[in-house]
Amino acid sequence: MSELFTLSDRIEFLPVVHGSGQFMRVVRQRLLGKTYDCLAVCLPPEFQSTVETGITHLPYITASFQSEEDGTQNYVPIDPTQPVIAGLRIALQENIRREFIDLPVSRFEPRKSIFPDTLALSQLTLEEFAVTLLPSLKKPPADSQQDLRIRWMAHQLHRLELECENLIFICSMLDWPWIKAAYDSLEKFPQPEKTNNPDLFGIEHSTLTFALSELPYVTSLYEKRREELRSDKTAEIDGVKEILLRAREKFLERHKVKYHNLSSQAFQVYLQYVRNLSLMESRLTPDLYTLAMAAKQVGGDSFAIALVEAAREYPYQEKEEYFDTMTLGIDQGTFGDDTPVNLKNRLQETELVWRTLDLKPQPDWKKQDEWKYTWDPHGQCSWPPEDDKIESFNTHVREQTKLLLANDLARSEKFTSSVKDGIDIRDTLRNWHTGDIYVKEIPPSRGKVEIVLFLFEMEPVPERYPWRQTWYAEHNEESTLCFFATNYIDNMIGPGIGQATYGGCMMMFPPRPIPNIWDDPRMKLSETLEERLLEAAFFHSQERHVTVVSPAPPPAAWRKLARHYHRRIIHIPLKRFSNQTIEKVRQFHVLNGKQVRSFAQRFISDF
Amino acid sequence: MNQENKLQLETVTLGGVNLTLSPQDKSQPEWIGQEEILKQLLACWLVVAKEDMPLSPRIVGMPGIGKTTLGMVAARNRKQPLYIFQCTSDTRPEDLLITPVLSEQGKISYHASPLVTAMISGGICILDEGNRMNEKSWASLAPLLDHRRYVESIIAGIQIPAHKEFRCCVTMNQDESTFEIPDYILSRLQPTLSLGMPTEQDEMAILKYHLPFVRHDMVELTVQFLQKSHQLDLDFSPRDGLHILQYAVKRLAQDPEHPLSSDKAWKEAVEGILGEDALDLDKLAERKRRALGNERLPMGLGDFFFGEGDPLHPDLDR
Repeated sequence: MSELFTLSDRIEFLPVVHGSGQFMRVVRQRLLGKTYDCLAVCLPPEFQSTVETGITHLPYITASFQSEEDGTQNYVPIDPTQPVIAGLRIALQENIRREFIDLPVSRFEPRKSIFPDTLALSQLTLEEFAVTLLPSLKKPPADSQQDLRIRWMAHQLHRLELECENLIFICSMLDWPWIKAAYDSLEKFPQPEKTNNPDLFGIEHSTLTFALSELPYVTSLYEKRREELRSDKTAEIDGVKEILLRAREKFLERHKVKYHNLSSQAFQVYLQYVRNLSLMESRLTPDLYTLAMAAKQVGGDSFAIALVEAAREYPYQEKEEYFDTMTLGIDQGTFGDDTPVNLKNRLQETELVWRTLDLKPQPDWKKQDEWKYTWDPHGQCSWPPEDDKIESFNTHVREQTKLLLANDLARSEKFTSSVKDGIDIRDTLRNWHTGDIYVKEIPPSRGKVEIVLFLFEMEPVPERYPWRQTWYAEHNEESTLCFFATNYIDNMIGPGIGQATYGGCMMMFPPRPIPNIWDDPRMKLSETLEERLLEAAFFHSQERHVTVVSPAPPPAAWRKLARHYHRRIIHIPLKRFSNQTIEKVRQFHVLNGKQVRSFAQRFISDF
Repeated sequence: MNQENKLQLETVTLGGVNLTLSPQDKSQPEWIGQEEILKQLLACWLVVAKEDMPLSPRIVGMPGIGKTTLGMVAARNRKQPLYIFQCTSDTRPEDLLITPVLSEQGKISYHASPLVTAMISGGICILDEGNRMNEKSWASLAPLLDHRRYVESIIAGIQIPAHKEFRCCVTMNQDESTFEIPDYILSRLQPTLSLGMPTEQDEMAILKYHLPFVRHDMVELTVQFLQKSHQLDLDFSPRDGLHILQYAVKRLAQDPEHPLSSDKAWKEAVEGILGEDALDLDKLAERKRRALGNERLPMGLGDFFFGEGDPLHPDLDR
């Protein structure tokens, strides 16, 4: 330890920024790097029993709450990445004497300050970090609570010096120069006030984010590496990457999508963007808001939801512990009832701001059941933005088909007087020896495309797609739509909003009413879902060509069916289109009446 | 020829080809509210090391909410020259890069597009309404949008590397597009910055900034109308608000002898600009309320931690 932190030949300082995994590592290194016979911490003595009990239950997260006269509670979170808690944990494990030497006060006054990002400590020594901060540390006003606490702690250090040979004292970065000054000048110390004994509570899993200094997933990573005796030097940054991978896993598990854009290239852009956003805010590490917002912008709403869920995972909190649990919020909490109590965190001195983001979390099963129960069977309509999307896709496919048809008819001829549709370089080269120039002629395509059929899987499982319908157009710009899809009732995402996935669909434009193809007795040749759709397309098409968009070329059975109806399949591979577009088109929503359209956007998340 | 025209005809020689550059956009737009998204766009263009690459984001949102203005303001913020390229469905690859023009002397001169001009001069290019452009044109930009950072002009037969200060963004309307943009292009246009509707305060400031001569009560009425429509997820934008007020003011000033009541002129303007249905927002709101029942709309990040009606919910006041 350098002279900077030496108070006397028996006492050393270990100033920390509360709530920092980087400082936790420094505390651990310093405590284990030298032999000490006593560890003093900046907490009052009445907290010793509960805090140490909480530490023995780590990695289960608890907090020690002390009530004040007006009902407010001040508390110490037993968070393994808190430097003070980590120090006490090591002292307990190494059987080092612990002393809680802060001043007991009946009304604790929290402080908020702006610190540089503590990730800087990975490149700096503690001394360099502290010296950089030194000019910005303001002397507390005389007789303020901070001043009284400082004088009391200086006095306690004098007292402990008589009993200990080698003492190390963990205190706040905001206090250490003033404690040193008070110690040197032997300032008068105040008398402790009468206080209540704290109680220990477990923290509700869902609100752990508000108790922990790092993200719950990152905290669990620190604990996992501790168990496995692995280095946690890069846990904070590795944590972000692991959250990203975990989020992708969760996203794929939930949505069962075949195509997605969450590639390593997308993650590279994501990390670069997150880094830039953090730098713009003068930070080195991102917070949950930045992570979630960037995830929404790179991977869509659903991925951002998966990311937030992954970030708050903390498996150690799921096991049963013998504690009453409380729900923690921002500077507020509830203890078993709905009455919020004001809270003051003793180990949080960094200024935090809550920023919200428009995300739509997955509804719980109770809500889904309720929405299922209240569904009116007489009302069923589509979600217009999705209609537009699929119509636009349909138009695009139609245009592509026309191009394919025209290319089939293209022919070359010797140049005489007109260059027609351009010089055919291939034929000109082929006949180079003759010296003739060949020109291309692409005649306008003959015939139109009335029906486009999309098959998203080659052999769809009928059990997965129990919902089969024929929907008629609401206006002239919309197609008649026949499809088979997953059952929307099984996936309710909002009041009167169900989500389904197409297995295949057939679009007829211009629209005209046709009997429901799934009940039509005239379709006799088809045996499977996709064949029924194909047969209906061939049966109803007034044009010779029917476009089929599918992952693989049409098998012989489909061609046979087409021949039977004297139709011709124009095949377009599904891979021609962007994976993202396909997934966007496949997922659709069913609304329980047109009035639901006015708020559906608030529940439907984008891919 | 005046000074301004001389500047517009600035030329450079690249690979032996003389290129005439496009003129800069000189407008000075103002950005009101939504500071967060401006910061996000600037974050995309931030480069921290020699090997680092800027990102080319897409800015999406309803028409008329200021996507292009956002890009323009961000460019001004970085103090770089700004070029805007308006994409259309018939934009060809050569329009995007270099166009041969037949000059007065009967010779061919090569004109660099705003995009290529920005690439050469180290400026910022906004590809406006990018999703109107077809796949073939997008393909010519693929090497520019990845680590290669160059384009190849078939017409001029040259490769044009981008200046290290060159940045770009693409604006896209959320309505249906003529063309589907392929995956390999979409993955280069990341992240997606979504511009939402402004808050009441910002909307008021926007309308007042553009129409400082309009009476306060009429602006207030328009802002209330727009805010209500935003809540109902209708597609009315601040641009619609500007049109309503402009039209109403013109109608009021039309005949000073028989003045129209401002309320009547405003209603007429709403009906004329947005259609008859727009006047019945109350009916729409009532239908929405009935359909929702007692259900609460999801509010955001806070919903992940706190249930419905939880007093600890940090977004309860939203």
